[in-house]
Amino acid sequence: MKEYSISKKALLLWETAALSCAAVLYCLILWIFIPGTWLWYLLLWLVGAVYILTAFLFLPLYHLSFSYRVTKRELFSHSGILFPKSRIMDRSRIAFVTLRHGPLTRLFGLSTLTVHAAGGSLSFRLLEHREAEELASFLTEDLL
Amino acid sequence: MTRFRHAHPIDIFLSTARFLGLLIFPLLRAAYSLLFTMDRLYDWLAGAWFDILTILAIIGLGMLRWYRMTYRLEAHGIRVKQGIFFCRERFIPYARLSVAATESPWYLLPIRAVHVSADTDGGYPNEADFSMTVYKKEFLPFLKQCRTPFWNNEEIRRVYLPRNLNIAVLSFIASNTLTGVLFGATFFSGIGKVLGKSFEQALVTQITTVMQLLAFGIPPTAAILAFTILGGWIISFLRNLVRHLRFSAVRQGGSLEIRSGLFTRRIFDITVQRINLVEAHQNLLTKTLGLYSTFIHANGYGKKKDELSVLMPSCDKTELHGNLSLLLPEFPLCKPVLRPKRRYLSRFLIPPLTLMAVVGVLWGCAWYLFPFIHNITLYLSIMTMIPCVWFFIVKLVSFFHTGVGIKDNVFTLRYSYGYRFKTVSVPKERIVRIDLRQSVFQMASGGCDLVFYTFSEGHKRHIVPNLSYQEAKALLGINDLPYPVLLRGRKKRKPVSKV
Repeated sequence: MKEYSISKKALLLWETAALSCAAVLYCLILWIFIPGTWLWYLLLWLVGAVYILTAFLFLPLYHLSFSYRVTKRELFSHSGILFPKSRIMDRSRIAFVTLRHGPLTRLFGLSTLTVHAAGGSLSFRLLEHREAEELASFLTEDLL
Repeated sequence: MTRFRHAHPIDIFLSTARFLGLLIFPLLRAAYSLLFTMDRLYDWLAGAWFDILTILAIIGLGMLRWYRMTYRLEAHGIRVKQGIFFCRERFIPYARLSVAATESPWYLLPIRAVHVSADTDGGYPNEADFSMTVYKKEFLPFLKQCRTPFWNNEEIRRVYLPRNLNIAVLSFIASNTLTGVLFGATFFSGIGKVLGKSFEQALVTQITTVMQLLAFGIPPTAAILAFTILGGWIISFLRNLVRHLRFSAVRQGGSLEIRSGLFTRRIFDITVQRINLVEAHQNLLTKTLGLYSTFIHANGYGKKKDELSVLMPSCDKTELHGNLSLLLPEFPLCKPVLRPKRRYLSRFLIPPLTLMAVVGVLWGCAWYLFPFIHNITLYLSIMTMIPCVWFFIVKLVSFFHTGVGIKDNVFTLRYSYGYRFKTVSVPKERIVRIDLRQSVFQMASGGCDLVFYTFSEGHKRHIVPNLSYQEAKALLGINDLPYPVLLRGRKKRKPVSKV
């Protein structure tokens, strides 16, 4: 059995994305609404509160909730805070694997490995690129 | 190891055609109209500069996409890399392939291009796991590599070649008015785009005039409706015929090769081990004639729009069994051991009778509410009642058709779906799940529906209705199911022993 974990850089990536979203929302509020009104203050406070909750509570917990495991017979993935979900896939059912990365994840050196099997797929999200490549070639060896 | 190869450059045009089509024809027509008045070129450019920029951007992105999309045939599988911003690398082992296919459309022949695709049990239901337009010289090595794990040259080559009449029967069964009408509509709108709206309108007016001339006393609206339905069906029939002429199926070792198409040749190399099921279809007419059309369900075959996964276009019962044991002896068909009881006949007939009653009442209301259109009401009521009566007869025949059989761990499921009768042969290991379901009425009568979920990229199920609950449990070998909650009160109590 081998354990894999989501990269620490993934948290950094999410935090960056959350900060960017908050910044964009702030700019929009400053641009659209009349400054000094109660609605202007309310929206600014709301965005700030949501950002703080997301960045300092939700995202770290969400990052901690991820767990991946590869055993002799199965692949296992677990994630989620309020509605945790565990996914198990029989390794004998695997058809092929896909390695994906977007412009941002490439910048952080991260990749997502998706394992396709008959009737469904299972993703190992945001692994270190080298680790994802190793796991992909390890799983592929089984299929040959 | 070979190098990574690009797709055929025509891929740039094919991938951008749907976007370009919207802009390029109006732009070309405008450019053509200015051909002899070059002094107005500046005015034209001033008006169309944004369209030209958009077209250049689309072509540029298409070229970038083509450049970034490469594949390599490795010793054990196909490696595919694609994507401009969101990159994807995929490795598909040959041993896991269910279907490798090539398609040579007539319009790609002069430029020596061929579509190739490969599919496994995994992936998505609407797209192939690997699909690309490549040079013609590359498709033979592709097929050879893909079939290597399953092809056995020492085994006997078993060939099935149907007659053209068989293919015509298949086209007759499989033709669909809606598909034809949609194809016709797309064709007319395409003509409108290329040759202009005025030409499209002139063509539609001509057709309408001919239809009205051929109406023979029928109300014109009804005639147009009837001819649209007939025209749509004929278009669909012809398309199916052209698609399946020159059909052949060859079994060698663990591989089944299917070729078809008059102008566009298609080759499907199917791994027998990964075929999920074999399905024999009949409609009321072919059932009366004792004919079957046989299809196979393998991920990747029959996946494209309007593509049928044919194994035998049409054959009688003896040919069906003979050819099936020749091509796919792994999928035998057997007689049902579990059939609906005679008292369940009403359950087959209630839905069509209800439909007939509802349609009758609706048209009756229309007759009284709109007395000024009696002719159309009468015509439409007859036209809508025909499919309802047809459905009633189908359901009646379905009672005698329905059943489940099992032989050598292969289930034979017989049921009707819409207006079709299906006979399905599915091995036990390709069944994902079996549901035994009961409605309130079935609980009272001791009946049940058996629902078989089979291997598929999407969701494929077969419902065999109105079987005996006890017999179904015995067939599946399950006896310890909990008693239905609603009937627990009616359960006989054990006699209390006296002390």
